[in-house]
Amino acid sequence: MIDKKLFLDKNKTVIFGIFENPDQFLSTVGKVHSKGLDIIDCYSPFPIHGIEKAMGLKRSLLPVGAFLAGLLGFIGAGTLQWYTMSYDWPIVIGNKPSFGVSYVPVWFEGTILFTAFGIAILFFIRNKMLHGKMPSERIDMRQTDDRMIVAIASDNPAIDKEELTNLLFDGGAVEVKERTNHGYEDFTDANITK
Amino acid sequence: MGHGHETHIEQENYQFKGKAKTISLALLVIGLVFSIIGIINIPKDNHHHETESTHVEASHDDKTKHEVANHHKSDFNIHGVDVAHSNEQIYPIEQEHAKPWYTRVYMNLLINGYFLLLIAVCGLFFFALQFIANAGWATAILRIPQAMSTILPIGAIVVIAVFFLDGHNIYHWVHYEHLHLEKGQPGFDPILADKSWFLNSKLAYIFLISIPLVWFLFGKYLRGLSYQEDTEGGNTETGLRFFKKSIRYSAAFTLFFGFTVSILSWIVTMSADAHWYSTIFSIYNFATGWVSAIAIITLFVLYLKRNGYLEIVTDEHIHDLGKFMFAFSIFWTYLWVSQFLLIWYANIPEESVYYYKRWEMPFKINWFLNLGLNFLIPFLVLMTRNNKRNPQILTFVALSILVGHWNDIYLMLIPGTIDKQTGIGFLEIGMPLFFAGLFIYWVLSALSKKGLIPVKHPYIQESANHDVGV
Repeated sequence: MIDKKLFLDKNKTVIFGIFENPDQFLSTVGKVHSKGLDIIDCYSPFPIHGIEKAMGLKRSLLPVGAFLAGLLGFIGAGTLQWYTMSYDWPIVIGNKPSFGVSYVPVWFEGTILFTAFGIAILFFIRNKMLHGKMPSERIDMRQTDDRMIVAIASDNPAIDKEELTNLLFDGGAVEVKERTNHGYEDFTDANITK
Repeated sequence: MGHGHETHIEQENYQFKGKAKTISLALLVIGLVFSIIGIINIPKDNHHHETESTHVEASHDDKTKHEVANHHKSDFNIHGVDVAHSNEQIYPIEQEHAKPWYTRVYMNLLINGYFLLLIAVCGLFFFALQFIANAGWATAILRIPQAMSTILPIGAIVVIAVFFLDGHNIYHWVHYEHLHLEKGQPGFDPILADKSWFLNSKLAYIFLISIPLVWFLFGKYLRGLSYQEDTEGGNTETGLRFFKKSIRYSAAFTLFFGFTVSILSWIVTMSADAHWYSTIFSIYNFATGWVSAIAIITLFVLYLKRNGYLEIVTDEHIHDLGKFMFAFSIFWTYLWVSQFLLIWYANIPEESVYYYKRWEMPFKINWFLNLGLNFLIPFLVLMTRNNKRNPQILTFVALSILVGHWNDIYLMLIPGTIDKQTGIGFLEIGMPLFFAGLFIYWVLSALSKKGLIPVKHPYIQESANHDVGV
């Protein structure tokens, strides 16, 4: 399913490049990706257009999830109305057929309700943003303010860490850190200087 | 949002020649030939209709006679017409004289002229909307809606001419107005008398002439600002002068447009069924024009892209246009259903007669075509991202929307006016082809006169680097 490498705490060591400028960040992330390194995630206080292409993200399956949630809502609303209004105790209002056009508003509402809630819940699940989770992803307090961070898996012994560090610094990183994971939510961060 | 890199943007000059010119002229000629064949084919005598209309002409005097004659008098009675047992024409056309044969020609002119007018003014609205929304993505394609808005006078002239030449045959209320009936006289229509403060030809002429005129002036001024910016803008001296001025005039236009497009739709389309009214009707008309205008913009962008123009327009812009078509098809359907559902549920005869007529053959076909072409096809086909970025699929859906909304306007106007004295024939196919050819020719020659890209627009860089994300 999801690549284990794409979790911060599933890697023994992770290198963080911390940036100030979104444009420099974007181009450096692109360079890191083109070197074939595993980018775990990018953290930014605001959306950066084009970052998903630069870090080589595959397209999200969220739209498919939204469609399925909507379909569920459509079928659910239809079943509810059919059972309550037409089957179990048919109710005739204004001499209208009890099955048909009058279902449209509830169908519509049920579909968009399920789609909206479904997509929001799936979004939180997919981004691991569920309640109570994530201290390990707090790399720098300013990642929610004015810093952009790229996290790169560095377990692979073939990775030349010095070259990577230089690449990050040359690309405009203001800080580079290395994290060593010891166990669940047990890690140490160390600053790397130029 | 700039990524620190600036895209070099060159002005492009569109050359209107070759295939596009041939096709548009061919459409013009084919449309004209079809229309002429259609006009020749219209049956010129229509006396058989008069017997029907006198049969149901139930004035207050012979109402009792009518009742005696009818053993199965039901409660479904609208203004003296027994709806449940009448298989003839029902309310409100019954009191009208049969239409002369040429009314069908005028009706076709009206449908296409009104469609043209709506598309042109919605093109202008698209242009204005980018300014008041402070939107940058569409800047690279702004010259297309600009060119579309130049055809506004043609649409307006056609509508006004039809109203002037044949308004009394097309519109029941214009005909009724000429009868000058007082209260108590046979044939007096209380509903039309009540509405006559608004539905009278004097006010109609004032609106029909002044509204498109003001639109045209707004369009001319806004276009002028945009062209002026190309030559004079972009330096420290002028700064953002043209841009800021455009925002102010766009805001004024939008405010004016919101009210006046409603008024125009009441006069031109809703008054075709003069006894009937619907409060959502004007925005439903707007949705028709708006989604058609977006479909046409998409077609022009795809055409220009294919011929090597609009270099800075990418799949991202086309994707956005696809989203617009998808979203506004649903918007149109939402309004359409809202209007239908309330009337269907309440089932008040004065209101439901509108749908009663449209539910009978031959309009039942148009009715289902309406939903299929305008809702099901755009909704199901454009749902996925890949389809919104695929030129062939977008072209197919855009054409479906255009045919569908022509059909929509047909269904708004025909049953309330000439009803079953028409059908889809050579004339109904030829006239839209003629107008399509005229439209393509006109808009492409307007595009070729000025630069294709507003190079000095402050948001042109944003548009060139537009990215919709995953």
